[in-house]
Amino acid sequence: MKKFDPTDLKPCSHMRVLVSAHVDTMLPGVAEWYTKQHIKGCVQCQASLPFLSSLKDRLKVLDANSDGGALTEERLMAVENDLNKIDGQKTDH
Amino acid sequence: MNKTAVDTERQRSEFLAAYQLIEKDLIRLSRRLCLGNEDRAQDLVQDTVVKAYVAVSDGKFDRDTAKAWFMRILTNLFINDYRRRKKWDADVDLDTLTSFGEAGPECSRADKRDVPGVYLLEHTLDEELERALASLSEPLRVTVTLVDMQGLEYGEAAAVLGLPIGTIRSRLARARMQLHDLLQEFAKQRGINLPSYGSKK
Repeated sequence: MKKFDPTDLKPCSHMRVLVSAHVDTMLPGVAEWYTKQHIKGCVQCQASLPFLSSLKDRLKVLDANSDGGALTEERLMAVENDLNKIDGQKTDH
Repeated sequence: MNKTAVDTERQRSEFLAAYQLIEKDLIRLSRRLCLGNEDRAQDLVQDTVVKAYVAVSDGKFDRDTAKAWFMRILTNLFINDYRRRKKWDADVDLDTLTSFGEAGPECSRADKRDVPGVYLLEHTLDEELERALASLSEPLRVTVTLVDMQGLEYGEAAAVLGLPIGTIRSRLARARMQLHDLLQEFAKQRGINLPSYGSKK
C-alpha cells in the first residue's frame, strides 16, 4: 500500500483494474471479496471510490443530455432504396 | 401479393419498428465514435441499417437483443472501415456533443460536496469531459462509450468488440485513470483546488 496522497483520487496502482470493476459490481466472487478486503484497509482506494462512481454517473448523464436526433431525410431515402434492392434480390430468387 | 412478398413486407416493418426504437441511441453512439462529426456519424448509421437488414434477410434477427445487435454492427463497421480511413481523428466537433460551458448535473451536487472525487466532477464542465473523452485512444474511448455511456454489461461489450471480458475490465480502468488525470489537470488550469480529506473533521 502506498502512502496516502489526498490529491490523488486513483486507487493503488496494483488495484486499479479490480477497484474500477468493483465500482461496476462486475467482479466474480473471490476477486470481489479480495477487493473489498483491500479497500477496507486502504485509505487511497477508499478515496478513489467517490470519483469512480461519480465519473460513471456523469458520463451517463452527459450522453443522455446529448441530442440523439435521427437520420436525415436524404439518408433515409438512400436507406429505403438499399432495402428495396435487397428485397428485390430476394423476390427475384 | 404472393406469400414471399407478404413475408418480406412483414419482416421489413418489424425490422424498421425495432430500428426506430433505438435510432436515437444509435445516432448518439455513432456521434461519439466519430467524435461529433455529423456527416460521418450519419454515414455510419446508414451503413449499419443496411448491413443489419441484409442480416435480417438471412434470418439473423432477434427482436429481444436488437439494441446490442445494432450496436455491435455499428461498432464493428466503425472499427473495420472508418478507422482504416484514418480521417475521423482529425477534428473534434464538441458543439454537436455538448452545450458549451455546462457544469455537472444538479442531481450529483446534492450530497458529499466536500468529497474530493465528487467535488472534482461537480466542477468539471461538460466541454472538459468531452475533451477528455476525445483525447483517449480509440480502444479506450470505444470501451468507455459502450459501458459507461450506453450502459452495456462487460459481457455485452466484450461480445460487441470481440474481446475477452478481462480486456474490457482493464481498458475501462485505464480509461478512467486517464480521465482522472485529465480532469484534474483541467481543474488545476481553472484554479480549482480540491478539498482535502479531513478538512471538515
